[in-house]
Parts: sequence; structure tokens; C-alpha cells
Amino acid sequence: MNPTYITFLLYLVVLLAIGITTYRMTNTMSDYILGGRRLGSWVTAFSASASDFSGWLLLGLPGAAYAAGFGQWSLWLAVGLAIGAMFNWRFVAKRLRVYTQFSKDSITLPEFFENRFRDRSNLLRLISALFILAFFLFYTASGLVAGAKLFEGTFDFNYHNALLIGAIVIVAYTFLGGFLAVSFTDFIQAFLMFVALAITAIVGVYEIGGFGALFEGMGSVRESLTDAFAGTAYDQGNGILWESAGAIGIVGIISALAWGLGYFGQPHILVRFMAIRSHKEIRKSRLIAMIMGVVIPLYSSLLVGMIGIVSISEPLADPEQVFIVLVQMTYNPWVAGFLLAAVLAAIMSTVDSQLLVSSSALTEDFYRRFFRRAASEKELVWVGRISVLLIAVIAVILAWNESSSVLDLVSYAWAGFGATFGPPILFSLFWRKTTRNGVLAGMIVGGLTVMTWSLTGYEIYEMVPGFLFGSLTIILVSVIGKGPSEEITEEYDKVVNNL
Amino acid sequence: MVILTLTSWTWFWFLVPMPLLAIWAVISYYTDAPKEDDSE
Repeated sequence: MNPTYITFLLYLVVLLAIGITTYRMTNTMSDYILGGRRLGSWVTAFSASASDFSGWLLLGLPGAAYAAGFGQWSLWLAVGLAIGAMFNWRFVAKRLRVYTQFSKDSITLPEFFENRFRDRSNLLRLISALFILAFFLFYTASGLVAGAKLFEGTFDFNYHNALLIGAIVIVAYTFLGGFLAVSFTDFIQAFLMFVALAITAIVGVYEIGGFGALFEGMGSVRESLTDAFAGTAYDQGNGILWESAGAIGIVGIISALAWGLGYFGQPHILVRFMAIRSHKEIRKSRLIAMIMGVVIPLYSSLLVGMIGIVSISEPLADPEQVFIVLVQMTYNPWVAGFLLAAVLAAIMSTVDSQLLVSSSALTEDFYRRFFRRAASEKELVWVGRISVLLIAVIAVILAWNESSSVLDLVSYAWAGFGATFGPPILFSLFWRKTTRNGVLAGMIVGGLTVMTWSLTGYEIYEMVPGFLFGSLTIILVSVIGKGPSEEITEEYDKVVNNL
Repeated sequence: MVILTLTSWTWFWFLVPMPLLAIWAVISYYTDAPKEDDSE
């Protein structure tokens, strides 16, 4: 048997073993969704990074760096994400952890909004759950497409078989163990993918002859590849190989940096902060996550793309294959199998988290709220599991078309969550006078702006107008309408005093 | 003027912001240390 296959299979067996083990530890809905708030700082740090950096850290960002070097948007995107991640860890994590516990021990974002604003109309919960389901379906589908393309490219599987195999493995352990399984496998997966990226970057730079030789090599391919303010066009299919495309302009830079804003509204990342054992662990998690889970992986990811420009002789038809090609070029099949498993790990760790959050939206926010208020914990865990299955089936159907574009969907869903939930989270946590109507209106305006922005024809990333309009709406509606009740402001003060 | 020149340099954006954020994470690890009497 091919060594690459063996490493891959071993990896999948370990994942399933974790799913089965944690299955025995999952008894209540809080266990299933938040792991009973008992995650340590290392697991929190790595699972937050792993569920954040999906396949695009190993496929998308290196692909962008391969196509345009420092230019276009790759470097700006990395800088924007690093800034967003740090601000999220520094300012949002602790407050969210403390606030969600004070707000009747909320375990999902919709539930937090509802409890935070004492909303008895169910509207906040309903609207936020709807946006979660809508954006995650496409997000999950894009992850499945990426996984399928990896299997297809590495093992010559047929696309549809690859899609089904990947989906079955992911669903199996999300279904069994819920949050504990997802968080612990995220921990392993984060390790795998960060190690894979860093080793490939280090080996690549070493083989080229150091950083000087790498950047000189890029410059000799095309000067614009070494200029962060320049655009470079790449489309191998049409014979366009690294052609200068003029300056990228301020709108391009702002659009790329704005990816960082997305952090404040990603339910699958924010839920990690809510699950940590104690808010005191956050400073340690932050340190681990920022260095080992954000800065080093982003640098490695950029370098992998740039190394590809210099060391892959035949220009790639799909720039996003650069990491896979480099791995196959550089290592023996045993190591290549391990490193390619890391790509699968990256994709799966995001898909599983998204499945879980979508499942919690269906279970907590629809089933318990509208159908069975008296449902037992055991029943809810089972409804959660069936929801995972249902959502996965819909995502597989959405991913069935081979020409689905992974990155467009990811970018769209990232903007959707950032604009829908980012402003409501920030204002709920930091502005005492925020009202329920303000948050509800801001959520709707932010989400709908992202959904409809392409109709305006303006090229700026949907995140920017969505986030801006959502924030302005929250301020405006909160100021104009009746202020929050005393009960709400008292709780806010209590949270602030406990930080 | 110096800032404008620096920030128009690709290497500035490659080498400065991300390491600075990592340093911030290290510093805030120490400055955020819980006080002795801080209870859960």
C-alpha cells in the first residue's frame, strides 16, 4: 500500500477514536455545545485557530501569494487578520466569557443576545439563528468542496466519491462527540497543519538559499511580486503569468485589511472563548494562539506561496495547489502523507465547528424554543446530532457541483458573519446603552448589506459597508428608542465589575 | 514624513505589524496577570 495512504488512514482512525471516546463524556446539551465549559488554555488556543484557519490557510493564502507575491492582497490580508485576531483575543474574549455566564449561562450567540437584552419576543434569537444557518450552509459546503478537491488531487478519487468520504468522516465524529470531540481534534489538527506549514516554509527557504535568494528570485520573475502596493495578474489557463497590473489602490488595501473585522462576528470562533474553563486562562490562550496559531502560520503560509513562484518550474494551473505540489516535490511519501493529512485537518477542523454551531442553532434556537420547551437534555443532544446530519446532507448537496468556487464562498460567509454579528457583539459587550432594537436592526442591516452589496457594483469588500452600516444602525436605533431597562444595565455593570 | 516613507515600504508591512502583535501578546500576558485576591 502507498505510504501516503497509510499515513492518511492512520490519521482518520485517530479522529474517529477521539469521537468515540468523547461520546461517553457527553451527557448534556452544554457538554455537547460547549464541552461543559471545561477547556484548558492550550486546547482553546489551538481550537480557536484551527476552526478559524480553514483550508484557505494552506490552499487559499499560499495560492494568493503564489499568484501575486507580496502584492495584490495577500500581505494585507495576513496583516489584517493578525490585527483582527489580536483585538478579538485582547478585548472580546474575556468579556464574552464572563458576560455569557452572567447572562443565564448562555451557550450560543443567539441565546446570549436574547438573555443579554431580556428579549421575550424570540426575535433576536430567531433572526440570529437564521443568519447563522444561512451563512454556515455555504461555509460548510465550501469546506466540503475544498476537502473533496484535496482527495481528488492527491489520490485520484472521483470528485463525488471524495466529497462523500470526507463528509462521512467529519459527520461521524461531530455527530458522536460534539464539542469535546471537535475541540480535541482541532487541537491535534492545529498542531498538524501549523507544523506542516512551518516545516515546508523553512525547508523551502533553506533549499532556495535563504530569504535574500527567495526575494531576488521573485523579483526576477516579475518586479511587482516584491511590491505590496502593486497588482500582479495570474491566469495560467489564459497564458497570463505574473503580469504587472498597476497599483492596487487604497480600496484594495482597505478591503484586504477589513478581513480582520470579521473576527468579531464568527460564531465558531467566539464559541471557543465562551467554552474556556475560566476567564483567567484567556491571557495564556491568547499568547499561545497569537504566536503559534496566528503569526507563525500566517508568515509560513505567505512564504509557501512565494517559495512556489521560485521553485516550481511549471506554472500551476490552479495557484491554490501550490502547497500540495510543494509537499509532493519536497518530501518522501511517508512525510507527504502526514503533511497532506494536515491540509485535510485544516479543512475538517473548520467544517466540524461550523456543523456544530449550525446544529446548536437548530437545536437550541428552533427546536427547544418553538417545538419542545420541555425537552430533556438527552433528547436535545440527540436532536443536535440529527441536526448535524441534516445540515451535512444539505451542505453535500450544495457542494455537489464540481465547479463550486471555494474562496468566493468563504469570503462571502466571512463577511456575512463579520457584518451580521460583529457590531452586535462589540456593542453588547462595550456599550451600556445598547438596546435590543438597536442590535436587532443592526444585525439585519449588516447581514442584508453583505447579501445585497454586489448589486451596487462597488468593488470594496462587502465586510466594510456591512460592518459600517450595521454599527451605525445600532447606535442610531439605540439612541432614538427607549433605553435599556435597569435590570439590563445592572447586569452590564456587574459584568464590568467582575472583569 | 519619516512615517510616510516607512509605511510606503513593503518590508515595513511584512516585518513590523505581525511581530509587534506577537510582542503585544507577550506583554499583555504579564500585564493581565490576575491579582492575588482575585476570585472567580
